[in-house]
Amino acid sequence: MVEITRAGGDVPVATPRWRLVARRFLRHRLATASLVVFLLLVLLAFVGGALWHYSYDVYTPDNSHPPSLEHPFGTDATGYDLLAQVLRGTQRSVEIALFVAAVSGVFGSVWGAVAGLHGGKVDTLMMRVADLVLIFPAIAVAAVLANNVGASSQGWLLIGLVLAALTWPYVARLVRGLVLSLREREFIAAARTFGAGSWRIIFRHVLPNALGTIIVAVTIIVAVAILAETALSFIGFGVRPPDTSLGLLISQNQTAVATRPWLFYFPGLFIVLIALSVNFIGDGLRDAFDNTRSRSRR
Amino acid sequence: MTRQATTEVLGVHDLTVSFPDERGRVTAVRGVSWSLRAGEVLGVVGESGCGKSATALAVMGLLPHGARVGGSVRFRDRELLGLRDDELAAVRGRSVAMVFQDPLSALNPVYSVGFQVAEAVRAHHPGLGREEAVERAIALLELVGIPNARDRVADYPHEFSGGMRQRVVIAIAMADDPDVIIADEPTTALDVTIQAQVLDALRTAREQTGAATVLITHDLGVVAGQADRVVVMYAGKVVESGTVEEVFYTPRMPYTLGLLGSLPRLDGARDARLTPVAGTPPALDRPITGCAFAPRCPLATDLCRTEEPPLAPVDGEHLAACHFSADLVDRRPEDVFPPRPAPLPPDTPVAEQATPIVTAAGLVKHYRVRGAGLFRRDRGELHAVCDVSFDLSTGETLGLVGESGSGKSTIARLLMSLEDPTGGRVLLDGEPLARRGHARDLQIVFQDPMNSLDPRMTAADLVAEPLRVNGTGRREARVRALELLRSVGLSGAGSERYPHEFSGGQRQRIGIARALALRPRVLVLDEPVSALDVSVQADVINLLEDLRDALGLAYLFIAHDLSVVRHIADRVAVLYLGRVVETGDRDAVFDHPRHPYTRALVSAVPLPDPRKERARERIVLTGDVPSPVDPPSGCRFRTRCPEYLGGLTDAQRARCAGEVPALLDGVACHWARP
Ligand code: SF4
Ligand code: SF4
Repeated sequence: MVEITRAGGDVPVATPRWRLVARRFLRHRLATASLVVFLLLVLLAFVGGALWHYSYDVYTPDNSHPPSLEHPFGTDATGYDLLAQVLRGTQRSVEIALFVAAVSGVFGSVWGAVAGLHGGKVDTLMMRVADLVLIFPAIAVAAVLANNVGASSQGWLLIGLVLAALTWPYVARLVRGLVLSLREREFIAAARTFGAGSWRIIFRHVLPNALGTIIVAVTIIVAVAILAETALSFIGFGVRPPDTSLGLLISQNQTAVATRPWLFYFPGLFIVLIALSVNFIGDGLRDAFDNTRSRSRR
Repeated sequence: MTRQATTEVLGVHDLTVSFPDERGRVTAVRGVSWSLRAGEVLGVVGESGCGKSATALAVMGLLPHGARVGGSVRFRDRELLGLRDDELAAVRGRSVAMVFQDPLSALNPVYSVGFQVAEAVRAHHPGLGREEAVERAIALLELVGIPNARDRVADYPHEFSGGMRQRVVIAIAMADDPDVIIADEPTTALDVTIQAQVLDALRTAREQTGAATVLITHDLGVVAGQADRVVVMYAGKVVESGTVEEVFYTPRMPYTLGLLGSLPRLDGARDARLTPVAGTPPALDRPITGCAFAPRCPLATDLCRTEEPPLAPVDGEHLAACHFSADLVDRRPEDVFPPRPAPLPPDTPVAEQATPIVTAAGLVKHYRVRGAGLFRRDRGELHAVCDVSFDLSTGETLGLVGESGSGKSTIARLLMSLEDPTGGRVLLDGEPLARRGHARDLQIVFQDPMNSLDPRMTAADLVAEPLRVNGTGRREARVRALELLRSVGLSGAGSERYPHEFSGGQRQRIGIARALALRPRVLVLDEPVSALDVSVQADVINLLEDLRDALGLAYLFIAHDLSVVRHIADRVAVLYLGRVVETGDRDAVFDHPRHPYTRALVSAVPLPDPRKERARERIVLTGDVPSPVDPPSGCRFRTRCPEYLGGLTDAQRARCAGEVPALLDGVACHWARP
């Protein structure tokens, strides 16, 4: 129990909130380990890719070599170095996933919070729009759109936008449900009594309390985006060669599973690592932002 | 006393209970002993977390997994601890019945109430036919005071109100014909008039079955009226036990004394300041050396802090656990617990003002009620507040009392513009209230600070927020927030903690500090102390009184607890189903209630004074509060009014049913006694 003395007039300095959050996050072992793994992967992809002496779009004289010192991940039938390709693919996949998560997370949260807080007609209208997006056959739409834009150099960005436009309603619905219950809490009423406006209530009271849920939703979207990108590439509408992504690599090399398994398993391993680590990071973040879970009293 | 009255039926000896917790093991019960004798009522009192409910659960063998129990629990000659579940169930079913705080969890939602009582009857009398069992069930339901029991046997638990359900549970307990009834906070969630009905039903059950009863409650008034002997618990131990008279009139342990002194009383025996017990009970996750009460005890010495006082006889069977119980003979709470000095006023007092600050003129609030389901059929209007008027001047406290459904919280929301009135208006200094912009003058403190404080903000941020919203700079708001926290008795390191890290009383102080941030002239206090334990409650009441006097605040004090209102209010208004039925000076209303409802309400409040409480004539109302969706015509109280149901002539009755009684001379009753 906290004992508060009646004496003492010192003005204590507040520990910045981010530091409290960081402290709680670091206490979560699996999450911390996952963060390290994820950062290493990203570093490897972006820095390692630039340093590696083979480029993802240059043929080497070696065809279908199994992993060796020269080609740690081996090469494919046309002579591409798979390590270079996997690193490049990781870049693309991570970029797309994070982009999708950020855009649909922010947009969906605000949309859901506004709808839930206002209720009534505004709510009905906003949620109808969200439902409409949800019933779109996502992959088909993405395929059509990506087909038209996929070839350009900024293709990944457009794919990201398309995926974000299709996933935000999940976040919006989740946040709205949460806000509907938060709205009944008296601290929202209290904020109104001293004159706080809707935006202040949304950003100061509703979203911070919904943060845990939002983070979990967003990490799921990261995983979904990576898989969606894989699926798109698999059916041939995602990132186009010579550029590559993890999904594209898997789809190109699916036939090689039996004969040259390295071509399939290395990109697969990277996808699994990214998806898992993002998931655990999400768990850790949720707990870290939820100060009511902290057991440390001092 | 008969010979039988001294035989023990249930004995708890040196019982210990511990639970696993995130922080280790919490020892909730640390060696408790008491014995229940045949035919008697043993009251077990204490504040939340004192281990009284854990004791009951251990006795019943209902502790959750992971709990560890030690010591002994004997039912007659049988040791209950360590019995297998089925053996225990056999003892429980036949000899020990339970009544819990939440009756809904004790009833099976998919069977009709009549079926469940009849089952209990048949379990006990296997030879009985179905028809006969149902007849017996109806008789039992009538006995516990369920009106039209015959018509209601086919109804399901959710169709009954809380008080009715509790009576059904009691009827089932009676059907078991137990030797022991264990009632754990049986009336805590109920309104006072309903509480009186349930206590009556419990008494009937006792008399019919001759069962000895363990009555576990935090309400000293209930114990004073019902129990023969009392056990007072603190921090997992018994600290005092004896007959009710001994414990209530000659307490010999400082905690008991403090508990009695911190209780506001309806009988107005003490108009002085309450004597709160400072601090909070100790955490039970590590061993306690010495007297567990020492950190809060004004008499504590070094001996107390090192050596634990045994529960020793002070006078015959009167036991107390205190090294200095001999010194406590004839001491009053205020001798032992010095009233704390008033905290510093944060501002200069406002000048007195004779004209009302706030006026409510003919407030009406209806809600549309829609059914569930696809078409959301309109089910009519809920008449929450109906033509309520009052005014409030500087430095004055108006108490708004009423049971659930009386509309008192809706009135608070209307005053705060959290809802728009259907009719009538709220005037501030004679001007209609603008939708916003009144923020500075009217502020509210909610009942449950856990709910009304944003869990993601620190105490300092919470108190600073109203200032920030209204344009104060960050630094200035922070300095003022710390100042405010200090003025409500919180200071230093606490300002950076989150609400869940405080105790209930401290949280409510944060709520009060926040409400004061904008220097309002009026505070609306919506059940501000009802979520708190008595010793803590007294502290918050004192704080509110100090702040009112220092700042010249006006309070609208909304509460269901008449004793608290009597203590703090100058005037009161009694609400029933959205209407004011009686209003006037506090002493006039409580000492000479004129409206039949007020009379019943006042008589239903238990006094923490065994002799007075037993001598009192109680008016027990029949039935429940009708639904506000379809309130009775004419006088809304008539479905429960003892006059209407008993004393009046047909012609008089016709007037009650046909004409809404106006609030004349402070009473809204056609046949009010002068
Ligand atoms: S033993 Fe000491 S600390 Fe405990 S109640 Fe008695 S006087 Fe107070
Ligand atoms: S008006 Fe009639 S029914 Fe209403 S309280 Fe008076 S006597 Fe009872």
